[in-house]
Amino acid sequence: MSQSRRFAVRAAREINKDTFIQEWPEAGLVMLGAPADPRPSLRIENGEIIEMDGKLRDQFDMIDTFVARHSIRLDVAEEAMATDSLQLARMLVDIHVPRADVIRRMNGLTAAKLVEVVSHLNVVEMMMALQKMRVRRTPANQAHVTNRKDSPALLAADAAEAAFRGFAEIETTVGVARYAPWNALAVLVGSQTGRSGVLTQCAVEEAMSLQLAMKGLTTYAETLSVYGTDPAFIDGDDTPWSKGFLASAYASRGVKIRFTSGTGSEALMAHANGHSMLYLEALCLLMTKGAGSQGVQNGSISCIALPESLPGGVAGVAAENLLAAMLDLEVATGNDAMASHSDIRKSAKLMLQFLPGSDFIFSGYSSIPKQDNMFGGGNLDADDLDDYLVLQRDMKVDGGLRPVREEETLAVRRRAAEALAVVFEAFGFPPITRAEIDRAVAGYASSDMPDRDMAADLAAAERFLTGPETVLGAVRALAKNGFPDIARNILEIERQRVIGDYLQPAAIFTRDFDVLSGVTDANDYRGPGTGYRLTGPRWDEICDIPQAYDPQLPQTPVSGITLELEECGETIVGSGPEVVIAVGPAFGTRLQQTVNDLPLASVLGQLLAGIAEEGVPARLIKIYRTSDLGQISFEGSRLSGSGIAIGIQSKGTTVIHRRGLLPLNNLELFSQASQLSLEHYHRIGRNAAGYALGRPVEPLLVPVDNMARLKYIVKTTILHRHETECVESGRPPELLRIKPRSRV
Amino acid sequence: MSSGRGIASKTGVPVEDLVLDRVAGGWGDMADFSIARETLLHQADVAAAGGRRQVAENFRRAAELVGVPDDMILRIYDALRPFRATPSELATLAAQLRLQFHAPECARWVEEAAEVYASRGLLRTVESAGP
Repeated sequence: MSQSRRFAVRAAREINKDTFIQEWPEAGLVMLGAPADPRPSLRIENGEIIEMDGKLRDQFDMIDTFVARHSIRLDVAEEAMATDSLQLARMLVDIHVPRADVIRRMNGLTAAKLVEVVSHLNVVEMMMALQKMRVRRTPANQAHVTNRKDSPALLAADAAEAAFRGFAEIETTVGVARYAPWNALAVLVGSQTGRSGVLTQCAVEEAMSLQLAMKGLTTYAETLSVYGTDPAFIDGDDTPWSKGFLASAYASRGVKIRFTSGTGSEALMAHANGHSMLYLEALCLLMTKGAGSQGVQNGSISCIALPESLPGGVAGVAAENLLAAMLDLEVATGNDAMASHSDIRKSAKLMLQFLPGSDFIFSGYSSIPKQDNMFGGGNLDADDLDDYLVLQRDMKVDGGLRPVREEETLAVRRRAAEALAVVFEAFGFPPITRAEIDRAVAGYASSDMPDRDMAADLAAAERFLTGPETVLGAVRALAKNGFPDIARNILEIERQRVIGDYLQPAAIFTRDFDVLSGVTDANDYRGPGTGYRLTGPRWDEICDIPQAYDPQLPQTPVSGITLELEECGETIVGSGPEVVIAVGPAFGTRLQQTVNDLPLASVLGQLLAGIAEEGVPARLIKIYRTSDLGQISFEGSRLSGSGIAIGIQSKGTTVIHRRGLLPLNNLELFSQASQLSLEHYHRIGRNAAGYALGRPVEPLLVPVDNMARLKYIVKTTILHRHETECVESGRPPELLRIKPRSRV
Repeated sequence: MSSGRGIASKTGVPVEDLVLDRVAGGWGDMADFSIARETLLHQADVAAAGGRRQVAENFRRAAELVGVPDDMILRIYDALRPFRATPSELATLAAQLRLQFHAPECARWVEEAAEVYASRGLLRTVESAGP
């Protein structure tokens, strides 16, 4: 228990719900430089590696053998290994060294050497390097679409929305494994409703996953996990050869794949063999490369809280993303699983992938609410989408998403759910009801969805999986029942599987089914003015968040009370104990309410009432030559018989001034107009009258709000701009009279 | 749009003919929407030209697997998992790939796995409880 209240408050903060530990290298709980990590070495004899990272060939384990045979380019290895690691590290950030030259050298490095290279980079340099080294020029993003009930209507609607929002890939999975063919179908139909060309997958057990692809229900797979030590790999029930065979099997069916790896998995399985997380990850990436996978998802993925518990963990995760890009692998850079309780920490971590851009910034942004994320993830989720869209606009960074409007989004969701209902009917599945569609369109999560007969659904899903029906049945149903556009999009996806251009590294489709990949859209970053630049229509799209309004639009009235003033000619200097109220040039004309939406008619009414309460007469004058409050009140006090004036700008900022004081000095200043109530204006009127009578006055204290400037500075700027536009420099002050019907 | 000019599916249908009108009318099955061996070999050439040797090798193995039936694919995958197959089972699969399916690269892949599994103790033996 803290003795200090400040320490106690901090102890209760979200960041202190996270776990932090000191390094324990023997257990693999260290990012970099475990004592057991080897020093880089490589010897080649007769075209074969006979020594690698300090081990002779007869000491190679399963992974070493695979890497030595398949992963390292012998034609460049001797030159690359002989190059100083620091020099290689500098090439990664040197804009004068083309990406291809760097890649060629990296192809010849061992795991220990790769790690040595990245260990020379600080985190900013890693970001610079990722910007240069990622495969595809255009960054993109992947969504997770799942729900706790495996509700098909909701999956379709959510996939449609994710596609509509700009996600280039959508990954789903299952609550109950036997739902897999349904979920894959729902996400396919939904995605092609939201935006043509979005790639989809359903993460399930390998054999099932392959079956779904063979039925045409998925277009990619990324569940091919690899591990950096033999025992971890074998515990995962695979070997580099079984995974490599799967890679070929998927490609033979026209399906894109990427492998999965990530720091911490070996330590979690208690099989790190005393190695650092980054060394083991480098081995995983070399196996990925050797197997001929076009890419990988890494960045610790589901283990993220493990590296984040360690010193340098977040930088280390950026390093593993970079290692993948250095090996010319498409990289989907994590950010999927829960990484922290703290929003500050989550956002800061995200920047390491978001700012440089990657092939997929998230390997699954939870586009659905956390409670429905069946990957156990959702570091950012549906609730955070507006934050993410603002970050894109703030940083002028393409994070792969676009702002949408509610009405159009709901229309897309409805259409997807209706399209899936048509497919269900054609396949003879238990129907998707009207009520389900309505809730899928407008509900928050699967908890809002009606329950279905799970037993009947699962039986139908299993019949579908084992039966003769394929995606083509869905295409036919859609074409015949009013959804020819969705049918055409799905058919085009199937046709693209025959063409196979999207099997090339880092491939995604545009809405016109153009392939953007390392072949057609190769990253050509060479410093400022090169590579991907966020300009033109795409930048305009990112700017156009629905919350942004046109500051040039006239003030929207919030009350029916309009002030109408009558000009009664030039003002003379008054006499006796009066108070002059000097208003700004837009007061009651162009502007009708203060920054916190008090009608100017009411404000003026309260000032006058307060003055009248003290039995002091008041005159109302308008200052035209300036919009500056000091000058307005200075002018007012000059014309006041008592020398006392209230200066007020149309936005509500008010001052009580006395003749003889300098323009920037005053009796009482109320600079935070947003904090003023009508009651305050009433008391300002009374105080001004008190000064005019020459009696002691207690200054009015207005509460200070630290957020006021944040909340009102934009509106203040706009209102002051309007006021200043009404300035007429040569015009003398005019006496005003309130027209009777606008008096409050 | 990736037009795929000159490309045909596994069943020999030109991709220009893979259109909605025909499919909606009842024509076609998944074989007509399957990638052809030649197309994968072309993709292998594209990858190799871009300096992506291993990606190209994977596409060449994939080209060999185009003619291998789904259940055989799943059988080979399962046999390559740890402790699933005996040496002779892997040798038989490799021979089948080479002779029956004209898939020499895939056969070599299985043989290499068998060799490594033998030295690392990853094969199913008589004593171990295999599936």
